[in-house]
Amino acid sequence: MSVNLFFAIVGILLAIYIIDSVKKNNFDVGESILWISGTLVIIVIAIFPNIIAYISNLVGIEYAPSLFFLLCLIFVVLINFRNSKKLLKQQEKIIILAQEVAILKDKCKGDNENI
Amino acid sequence: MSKVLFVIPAYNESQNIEKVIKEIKEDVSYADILIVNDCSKDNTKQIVENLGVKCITMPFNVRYAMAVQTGIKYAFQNDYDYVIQFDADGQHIAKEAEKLLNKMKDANCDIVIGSRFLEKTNYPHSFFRMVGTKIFTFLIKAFCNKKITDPTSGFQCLNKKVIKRYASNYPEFPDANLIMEMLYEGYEVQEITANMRIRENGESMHGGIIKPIKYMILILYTIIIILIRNIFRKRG
Repeated sequence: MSVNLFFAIVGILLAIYIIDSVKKNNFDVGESILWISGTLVIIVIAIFPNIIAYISNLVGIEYAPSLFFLLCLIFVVLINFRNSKKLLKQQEKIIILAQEVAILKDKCKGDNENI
Repeated sequence: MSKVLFVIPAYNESQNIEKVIKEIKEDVSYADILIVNDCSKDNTKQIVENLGVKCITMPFNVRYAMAVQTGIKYAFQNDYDYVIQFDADGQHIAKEAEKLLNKMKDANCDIVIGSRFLEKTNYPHSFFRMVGTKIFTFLIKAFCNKKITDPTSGFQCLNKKVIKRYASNYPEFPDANLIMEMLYEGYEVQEITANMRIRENGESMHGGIIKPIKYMILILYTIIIILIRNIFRKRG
């Protein structure tokens, strides 16, 4: 029971931390939904651990906690892939900006020389 | 008279750039020159500016392809009719650019590639690069039914249509994959024999053994993606 309580508290603290970050404008609202969902799952599982046992039984996993680890791993991999995609998108935008800056700087130099 | 721009990306090319610029000024005097200084650490920028040539300096190193695209964007914004992609290492010969331009006008095509292998030239090609070129030539022939003998050549002439396309969409690794993409999109690509020199100073970006192999794998992977994309385009 104490383990469940521990995980429930961890989940609640994480949720508070995320909401607080959003409140202070340190974290994006849209982005936070994903993480809040994750913490909610932790809290629900901590309070009703039988859910994990029930699902693992359903899909044929003998050792119930391994299902929990598997779900966590999938969650982390998906988030990592999503971040990688976002990072590349940002990199592309930075290059476009750099190109614009370089061309504009040259144009400004030309305009100044004409004045 | 059509407006022609030489787009020359340069990174630490202080040893070669002066010769390259002087040669173009002498042999293709009617064309404009744009050096895209990819944040060189040496005095490439000063040399170019002292020669009175237009020089755009990137705020940080964006690497070859994106430097080329910057030049193409400049050409697009300034309404140039033709862009000659030219190397800053002294490999390309300015006089040969005229051949590319004439071919472009005569054959009414969109891209003219200066080929080292269309006819036998005296260009020495390393073994790995030769194998790579042969594989790319084979793939283009197999999938696009077009014989391109030198798809990795960076010596190309582009018309207005292509300038517009490249200004908005240009890959990070423009090689045989880009030629395939353009052929699939219906652009007319032609080749003409162009003599080239061997690099005099500095280091090539495809030097060594590991780098060309890595590059080759990357381009092959990109080609697979293009083929898949083309299948979906046909269906869609």
